[in-house]
Amino acid sequence: MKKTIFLFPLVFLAIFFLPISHLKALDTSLKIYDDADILTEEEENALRDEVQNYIDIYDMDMVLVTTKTNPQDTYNYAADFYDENGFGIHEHKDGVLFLIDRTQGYNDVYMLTTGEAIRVYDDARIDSIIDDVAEVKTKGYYQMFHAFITSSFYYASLGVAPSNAHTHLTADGSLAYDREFPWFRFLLFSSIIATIIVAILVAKNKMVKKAFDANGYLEKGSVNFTRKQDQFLHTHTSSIYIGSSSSSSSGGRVGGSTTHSSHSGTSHGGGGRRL
Amino acid sequence: MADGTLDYKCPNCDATLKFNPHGQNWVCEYCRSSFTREELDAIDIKKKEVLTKETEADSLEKDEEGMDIYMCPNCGAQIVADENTSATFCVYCRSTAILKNKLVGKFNPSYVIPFHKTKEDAMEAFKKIGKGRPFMPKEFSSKKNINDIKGVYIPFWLYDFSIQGSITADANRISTWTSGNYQYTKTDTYRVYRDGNMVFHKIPTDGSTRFNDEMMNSIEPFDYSGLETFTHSYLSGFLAEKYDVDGPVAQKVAEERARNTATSTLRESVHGYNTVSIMNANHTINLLKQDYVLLPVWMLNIKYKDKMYLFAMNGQTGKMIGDIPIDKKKVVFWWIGIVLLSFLIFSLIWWIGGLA
Repeated sequence: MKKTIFLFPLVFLAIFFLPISHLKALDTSLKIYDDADILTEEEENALRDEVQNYIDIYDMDMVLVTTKTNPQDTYNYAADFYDENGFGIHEHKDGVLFLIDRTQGYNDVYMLTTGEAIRVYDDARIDSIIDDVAEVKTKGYYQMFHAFITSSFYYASLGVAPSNAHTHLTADGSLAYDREFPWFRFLLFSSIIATIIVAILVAKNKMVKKAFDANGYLEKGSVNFTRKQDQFLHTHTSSIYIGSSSSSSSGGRVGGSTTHSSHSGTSHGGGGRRL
Repeated sequence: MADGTLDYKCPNCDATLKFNPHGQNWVCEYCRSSFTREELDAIDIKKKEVLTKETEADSLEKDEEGMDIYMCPNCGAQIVADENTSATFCVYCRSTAILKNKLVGKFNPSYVIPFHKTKEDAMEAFKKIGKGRPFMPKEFSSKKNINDIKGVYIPFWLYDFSIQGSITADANRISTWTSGNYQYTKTDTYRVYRDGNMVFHKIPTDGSTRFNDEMMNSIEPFDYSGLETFTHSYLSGFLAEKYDVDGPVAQKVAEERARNTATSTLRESVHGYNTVSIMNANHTINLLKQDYVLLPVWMLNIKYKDKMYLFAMNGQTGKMIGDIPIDKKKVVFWWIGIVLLSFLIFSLIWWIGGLA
């Protein structure tokens, strides 16, 4: 308790500098950063216990953030907050961050997933978690965070989302499909190759063939052209619609999770909306 | 009427002379003397006189099946030959018998390519026929399967043509480009005319119905620089046929081949188009020359598992042809083997990290 009070001014200072300094020194053990000041200290403490419980059980980080001074969109704010303060556990910075952004005067919520959490929370699960949060939006912020934690608990207990069953995290923490041994394709190609080779070898046993041409008996220098005329007849132009060339984006959808690359280059999943 | 069988007697010992393909000369198997063409020609006049006397008594008969019966000048036995055989052997004394009356007048060939390959060469070539053909049954090319082998001078017609060819084709030049959200395809159509003259030399057509035309096609080509003026002496030791396909019939076959080559030659000069389809080909063919020649072919009758297979070897170049039976078991083994091997290779590459 004493420790938290001691750290409070520091947190406050950090949140104050948030848009400019991107939070250089932040106590990452706090897990709850109420910049928008919409939670009471008791509520924070209660939530912190739940968060710690989640971290202990699922071995993934959980961060709850509020703000009312966000100059950018919710995704980038959430991603920068997570990346630049060094949240996340293990190699791939596993963890989730839930942001309530009050900058616009609305509750713009965003759930950010990183590392293994990308695989656990696919787009559908994130949507469903935010639905749970939305359901209790009239009951206050504590209830909203509580709903987020409860719902996150539930899906984490189900493990990796079925839609991401055949994916894995690459060295840089982005989501990729598992390399599954394409035995059927290999077998098909092998059969085609074998059939072609065997057909060629079978044909070698047939040597008796009718001659259709007299190419070997044409006197080479005797060919003398008396007319070479190419007469233009007509032209025809057709067009087909091929659609607009799609713009490239720094993310993509692998398995059931849509991911983006943040400013720091880390890959994140996530989703959010205005409640 | 005085015509009958004819063979070449050794001027030294009066035994039968045989043509030797490797030395391109005539050898006597008894006294081991050998003669060149020039030497034989020099004594030919004298020989002919003797032959006329010798064969005068031979009576030419026809039996009920239209077979001709000759008397062997060597042992006096009767030789039966059908009307198209012009050189054969006496079944009793194995001496060469040239049925001279068969190759006179319009049946007298102008040229002959003598045999360059011997019977042994043909048997060796057959033994090696399985090389590069893994589906041949293991025992097929064994020499013991050679049921019968004979060297035959087969009558061929050779045609020289000049062709005034003309083709008309519709050709398309296609270009594609992308502009905005559309892909454009522009097709320019041209009518293409190509006229040209060309000359063909010595297109061969098998003049004997007894030999499969496709087999005779397949032993082509012969090297025509080996054509010699015909004399009966070349036939000594071999079988010979006379033509039973008349010139005009054979000419049609050769013309068809020349036509196809004329069309493709003219077609090859059409460049720069994506598609070319020939609408019309019109060729005027002039016959420059027609030659009746005898070309050397080794015919092999192969008996394998109670089935007969016919093989032929170009008696000049040694090209051996024939349809080899397929060992289905080998085909299946090979197929499975290749599937497994390439599957293994794919897997290995995949395992190393290639192939998504």
